[in-house]
Amino acid sequence: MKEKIILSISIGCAALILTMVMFTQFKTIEYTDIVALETMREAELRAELASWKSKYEEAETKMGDTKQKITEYQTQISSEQNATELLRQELIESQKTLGYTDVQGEGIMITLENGEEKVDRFDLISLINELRLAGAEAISVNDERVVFKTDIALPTSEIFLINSKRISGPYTIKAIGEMKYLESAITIKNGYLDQRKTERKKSQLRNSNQYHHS
Amino acid sequence: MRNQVVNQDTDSVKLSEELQENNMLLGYYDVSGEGITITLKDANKSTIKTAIFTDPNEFVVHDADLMEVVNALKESGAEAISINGQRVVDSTAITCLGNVIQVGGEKVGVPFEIKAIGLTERLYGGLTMPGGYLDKMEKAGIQVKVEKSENIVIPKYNGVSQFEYAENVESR
Repeated sequence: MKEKIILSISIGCAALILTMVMFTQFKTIEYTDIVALETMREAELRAELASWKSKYEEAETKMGDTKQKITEYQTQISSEQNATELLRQELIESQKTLGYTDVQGEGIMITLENGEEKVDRFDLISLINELRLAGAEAISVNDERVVFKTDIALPTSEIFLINSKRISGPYTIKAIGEMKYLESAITIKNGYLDQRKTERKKSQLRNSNQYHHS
Repeated sequence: MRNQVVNQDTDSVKLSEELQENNMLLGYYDVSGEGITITLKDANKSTIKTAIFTDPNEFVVHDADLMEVVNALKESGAEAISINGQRVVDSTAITCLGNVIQVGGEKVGVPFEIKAIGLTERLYGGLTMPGGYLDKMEKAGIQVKVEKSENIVIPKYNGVSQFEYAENVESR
């Protein structure tokens, strides 16, 4: 009888110890699992970062190579007798950016007209500024091209001087550039057109694939 | 590089001269000459305290102010303009960016130093004209300083001007 009791108690003790061990085991497994997962993620991220870095370096070296090639080409060309042609092309390009030539392309057209309020000089200045911000390449006001030295003067309240030429309303501003950018820059909420509306000036916007500038 | 390209060919020499002229107009070179320097600063604290109207916008230099000043300088025949060392070219946009102003992609802040090369007297006279834009700003409390100078240096334009969408019209 006494032996039986001892046996059962010892078995009970063993079972208790076993369950405790089991629980600790469970807990450690849980813990280690999470840590492993986390370290794995970090490793993954690190690898990704490294790969991006290498990609970036690759692109950079590529750019360097292309630049070198360009200079090589250019020296080659200069050694041959194509110098004049090269210069002519560069000249044509610079004339285009200066606005000495007629250009065409996609873009937008905006008309400003006196509403209850008059269109003032700043309406034109800020519109030109907005268009430039949106990447307009060529701008004209009433077919008067806006170039690097163009100013907008206001000798009387009715007539503006642009490039020292008189213009009066309605004002038609054309801009060549990426149509989407130009349009969204002007039509954005509380943007240029909205502001003119609250100032009670008439404005209109049109898109076109072809705009001429002289 | 270009100088290498140009040999004794007179045609090339002529073209290259024209190109150089164009590039100068486009702002690709550092330039120097007579002109004026305009310094614009936000209003003094004492001015703000004694002012009747207390709209803080009145005492700050805005993007619109810079646009107006640049326009006025062009009116007076400025050949090259820079704002805080940023060359103002055809494609330069001036935008408000919170507490700074962006000039052609670069942030600039108070005080604004606007340099212009041109006929000094005409620039000075045109800009300091009573009732002119600077005069109005000064009356609004902004600190305006205009100085003549014999030698103003304006740095070249750092960006590129290239057209992607506009192409030359061939026939005309």
